[in-house]
Amino acid sequence: MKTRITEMFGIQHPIIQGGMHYVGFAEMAAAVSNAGGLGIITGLTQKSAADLANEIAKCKDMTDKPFGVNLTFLPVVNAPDYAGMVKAIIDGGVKVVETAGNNPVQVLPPLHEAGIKVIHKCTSVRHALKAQSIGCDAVSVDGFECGGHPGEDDIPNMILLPRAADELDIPFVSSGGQADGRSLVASLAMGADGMNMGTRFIATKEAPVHQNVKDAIVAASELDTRLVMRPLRNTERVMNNAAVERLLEIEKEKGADLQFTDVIEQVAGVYPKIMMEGTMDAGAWSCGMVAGLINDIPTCQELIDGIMAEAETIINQRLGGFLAA
Amino acid sequence: MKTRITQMLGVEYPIVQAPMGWIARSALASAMSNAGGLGIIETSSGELDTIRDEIANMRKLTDKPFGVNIAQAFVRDPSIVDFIVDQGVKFATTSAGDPNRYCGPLKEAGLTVFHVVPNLAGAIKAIKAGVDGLVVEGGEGGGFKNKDEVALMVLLPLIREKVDVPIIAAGGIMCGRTMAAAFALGAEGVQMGTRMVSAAESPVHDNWKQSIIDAKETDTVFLNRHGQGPALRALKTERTNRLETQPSENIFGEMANALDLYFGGDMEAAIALSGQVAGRIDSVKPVKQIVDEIMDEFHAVAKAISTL
Repeated sequence: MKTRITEMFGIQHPIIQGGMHYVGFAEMAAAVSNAGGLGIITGLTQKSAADLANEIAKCKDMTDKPFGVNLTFLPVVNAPDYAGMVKAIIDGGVKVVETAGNNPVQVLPPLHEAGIKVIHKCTSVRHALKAQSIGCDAVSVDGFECGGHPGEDDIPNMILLPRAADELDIPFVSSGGQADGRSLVASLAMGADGMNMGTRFIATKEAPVHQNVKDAIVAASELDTRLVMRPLRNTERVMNNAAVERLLEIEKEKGADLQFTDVIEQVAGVYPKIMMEGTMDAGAWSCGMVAGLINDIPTCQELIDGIMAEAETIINQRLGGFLAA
Repeated sequence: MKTRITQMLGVEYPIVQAPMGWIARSALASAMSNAGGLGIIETSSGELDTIRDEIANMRKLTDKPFGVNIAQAFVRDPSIVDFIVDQGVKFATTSAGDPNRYCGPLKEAGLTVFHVVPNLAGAIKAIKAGVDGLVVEGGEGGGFKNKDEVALMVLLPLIREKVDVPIIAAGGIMCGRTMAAAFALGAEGVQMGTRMVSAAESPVHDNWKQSIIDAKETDTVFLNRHGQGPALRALKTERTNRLETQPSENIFGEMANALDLYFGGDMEAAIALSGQVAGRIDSVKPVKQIVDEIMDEFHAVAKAISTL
């Protein structure tokens, strides 16, 4: 399958593994890229620019296919060493950068000068148009279904994707609610050039996370995610667990007076405990509504091959059947 | 086009008009049936004498099939099943309640019955009740809603995997692209509400239609997520903005003067129910044009992605 996304990134299939905190290590990215998709290393999971350079080098040893690095721009007091990370990306020969969070305009000139394509994650049409206007090469359009930060507009992909298709000139991939060949074809039908998956890739054999995390995704229903930090206008979709229930209680108690410090115990520094140690009630961790659709833990190759085979069948037989008639 | 839905309903296109209270009457429903889809007459208004006349009128306005909906939460007359059977209707959707309540009697009387479901557990329950098919409604849709707000992108394939009966997708549908997406996700038909409220033959006041046209996709609110009774999705107005921050104790009370909004055009008189798809609707069109454009675009999209 050829789309503007496969052509732009030089990949076989229009499937991207979005950056995920404490999941997007070299093992994850290489497995996805080797399977014909675009794997992505999460920049901020690395503690320094030097660590990121090492992770990139490690990934290069594991795959000769294109892979990317995610750079998320957060409004924090002690900003990470973005300049150093950009240098590590350029020096490491990375071809794609996925940006997320605040406006990535500061890193576009050096990345573009190095021939690197930039895809920016957006949760609304207006953000996508902004990304297009500042020169991003593509966008990843995150519907309300998505794990992590869906923004504050609450627009699911059945609405958001066709709206994005109406407005954008640059290619875009769907993100949120994507799990299989059905989601891929639905996204293509609504105008996307491919899809991004996060949660689905956590539940793979190669995902370098604790087995408990994968099991929790397989066990979850479509009703098992929660939106937290909504009163802080920093909404995050997470898997429900004891810590999240406590967090939501605190939100209810504090009401409009809620401060980030009130919920810091449930959200700060919890990823290593959950993803690496498998202490599932340690805090809130990003997970998409799509967990309800995930019932197995395949290899990335099995997953992507299955998606593409299912997509071909739907396109040629199910939808194509109506063309013949 | 042939799907199990067109075959079961005896229609040309697998496109269904949703049963909005007071709105889904003969003018709109006959326009949909005559356009090749399936018009549905509402009973949620509770005005059964009027509904009887509307169904009689349908037979004058169209010789095509049509259906009736029972929105169970609004049923006041316990003999609603007898009422529907007496009208000679062949297709019914049931919604907003236990599927076991009416499915058996309706099926015994020879009707085809679909139940509207908002999540997987609801779908399984409806299948056990013996329904012929499901209307799977995502959180995108307008009107009275389940509080869970599961997006169609996840809900459709999830239910498709667990049931064998045909599925009509509802919520966010207005064009051939969204219909093709719903079909890729497992549906064999689609239902539209907001697109039909804003159709030329819809009897509502022009102010409501204009509000839908003017709305961006961010211009709806999801109300009563935690209160008594159902949640609902509606257009942003002064009233609904207030209800978002100060929830009503009695959400139905907010609809007491609904007819002043629906037909009088006073957008603050009640709650203007609408799906998020309002953000994609930019003109009032006749139902037949809407249906024809959907089918043309569906085929164009299916063809385009077959060449990727």
